Amino acid sequence: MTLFLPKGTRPPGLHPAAPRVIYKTVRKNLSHESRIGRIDRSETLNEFHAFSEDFHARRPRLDPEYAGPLHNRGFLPDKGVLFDLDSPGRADQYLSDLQARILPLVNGTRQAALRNRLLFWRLHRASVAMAELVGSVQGGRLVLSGEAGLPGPFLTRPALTSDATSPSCHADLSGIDRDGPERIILRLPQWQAGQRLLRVAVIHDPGTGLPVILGATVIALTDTLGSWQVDGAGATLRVAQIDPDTGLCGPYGAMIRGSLSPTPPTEPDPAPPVANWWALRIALTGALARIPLLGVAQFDILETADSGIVLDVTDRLDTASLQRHGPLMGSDAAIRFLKEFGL
Amino acid sequence: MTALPAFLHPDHHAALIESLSDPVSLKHLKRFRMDFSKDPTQISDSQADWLFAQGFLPEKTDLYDFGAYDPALYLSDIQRWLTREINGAYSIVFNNKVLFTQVFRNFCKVAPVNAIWRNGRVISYDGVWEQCVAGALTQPRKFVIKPLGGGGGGNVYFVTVDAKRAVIESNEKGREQFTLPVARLGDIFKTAHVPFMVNEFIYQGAYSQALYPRTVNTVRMLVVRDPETLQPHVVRTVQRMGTASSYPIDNFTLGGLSAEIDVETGVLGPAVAAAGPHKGPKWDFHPNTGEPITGLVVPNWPDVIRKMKSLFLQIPYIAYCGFDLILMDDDVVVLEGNSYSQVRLFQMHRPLLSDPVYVKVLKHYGIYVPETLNGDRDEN
Repeated sequence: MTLFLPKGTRPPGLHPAAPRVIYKTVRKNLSHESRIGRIDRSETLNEFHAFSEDFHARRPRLDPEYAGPLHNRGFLPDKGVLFDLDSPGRADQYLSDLQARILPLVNGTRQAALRNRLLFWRLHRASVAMAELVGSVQGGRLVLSGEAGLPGPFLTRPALTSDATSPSCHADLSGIDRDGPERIILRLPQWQAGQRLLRVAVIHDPGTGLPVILGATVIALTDTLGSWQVDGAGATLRVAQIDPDTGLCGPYGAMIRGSLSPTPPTEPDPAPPVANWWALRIALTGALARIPLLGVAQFDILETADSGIVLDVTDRLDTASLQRHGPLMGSDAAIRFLKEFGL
Repeated sequence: MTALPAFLHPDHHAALIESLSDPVSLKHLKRFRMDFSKDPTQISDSQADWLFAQGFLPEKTDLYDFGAYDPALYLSDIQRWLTREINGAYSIVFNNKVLFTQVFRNFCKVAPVNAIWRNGRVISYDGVWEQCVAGALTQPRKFVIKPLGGGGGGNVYFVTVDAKRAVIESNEKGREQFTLPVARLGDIFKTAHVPFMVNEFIYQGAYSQALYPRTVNTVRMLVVRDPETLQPHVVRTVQRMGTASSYPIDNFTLGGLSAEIDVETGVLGPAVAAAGPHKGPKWDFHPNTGEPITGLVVPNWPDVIRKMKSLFLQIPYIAYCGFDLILMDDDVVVLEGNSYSQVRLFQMHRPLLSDPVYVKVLKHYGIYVPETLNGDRDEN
């Protein structure tokens, strides 16, 4: 297998419709400030303004001394403390909240599948080891695709990734609310105490044309149903960084989403390594290499005894949990990716 | 509070921001929101929400009298950025000072360009620079050296040269006053990172000189073209005056004063400052010299207005300009034109949108949106 492609060759796995340049990036200058200065197209400007409106709506308001540098680099107020961005030059290694908004554009016309969970499940359940899709909630009804009497537990989450409603877990189907937005219903394996969620960010490396794990964290879940509130405002998480090469984990560190309070210190001992990390990694990247799908995607994977079960896919990377222990964008693959797509 | 005139819709600021959709306008909105985020003015949460939604920077709570005048009467900061697009492709005439001089010298008195400094070398236009460097001047000459593009003052150098040496005064920190042997005149540019222009110094008339003798005190005149009649309309004029803190220039951003000149009569009102030690009060007398300001009459004012309107008529592709004028005893020198004039120096006295012709111009260029937030159109 050829690992490196001749210069100028377009990687075969990359979708031909994936935009090459999101906005002009001077290749020698990857600072956030200069990137934002060069944003000049309608779709990226609209993302900037959505970010800016989110920033300025947050309370409490930051003092302008801190607000200016954070906003004008694309970071929401909580990231100043969470990432310790006071140190000079540090900010440019982190994926900013604005970048996380813009990154999905690299997926081009494939964005639709990554923004609709129902569509993604139906298209790719044969290729990727995903939780069983048993049905959906649509128009006030439960629409099941299989047997009605399957045992749970079940996880429901909005069909559209733009819907920020948190997922919910149910012991059986009768507990699922029929009202509300369209949702998918996934069947989970039997719950085990201490189960963990792996959050894995994947990009296509422009140099090799292959999917690469940009970063991964493990999120400790509580031992009861309803512990899936990992992405809601104010959610408290306990996360540890995963070494993508070995599956070994760093220590857990707590974080509260959106909080401006000082970040709690990390725990003294490393978290347990990910069970069968290599099997998971090979299964995931191997499946993605066969799908001409991605520029960027984030997978939530329930850690199991074998190679894990995908519970969620989205094109919007979670900058907070993925970077709680360090920046994502300092690696060679990340820099190649940013340069290739003009981000 | 002054009542809103019938031709102005009370919600037009928010309606404008909601209406912006093209990349050029969204870029200006981006610029506004970035400036907003780093504005150090301390404001409450509710003030921040309101200012952000209406398009005003936080500093305007200090500078504008939102208590006396309805905020809808003020040109907002995002609107001001959008005025940059009014002249379209012809904005370049104003953004490049050499081009401005070359175009406008055909129609009015301008400050001649002697040379340009760019990329480490001086390009002389008339041989005067070489004469200075060679020590060949038979009598002293005075020049003004300033950036070729952009506004806001920047580094400006006033250079007096004789046969042996040059005395330089500037607003550059650390180089406020220094001398150079004429052979090393080019050392003026040793800290330069942008192109500079060397102009002949213009000696102002007695009226301007008396305002503050240590600086050249310019008039800023905002002229627009009525989109219906195509005739020039003078919206507002102010007299700028230097102070000890703005020396050696009269720049308003850097601590200078601005006094409104009544367009009809040429009478000065009190002066205000946007920055520096004189910010806050209204000044009837110059804070450094004690010379009277309020009630002064600009000599030959009707002639000044007539000349500027005539100039505007001769350049039909220009629709919006803030001219900087040096008033001589019997003439006017047009120093430069600003295609998207800063408006604080006008609006610290009175808001601009009280002028119906000005509002008509803004509406014509999509900078005033006479709609309610629910889409009802105001037919005014």
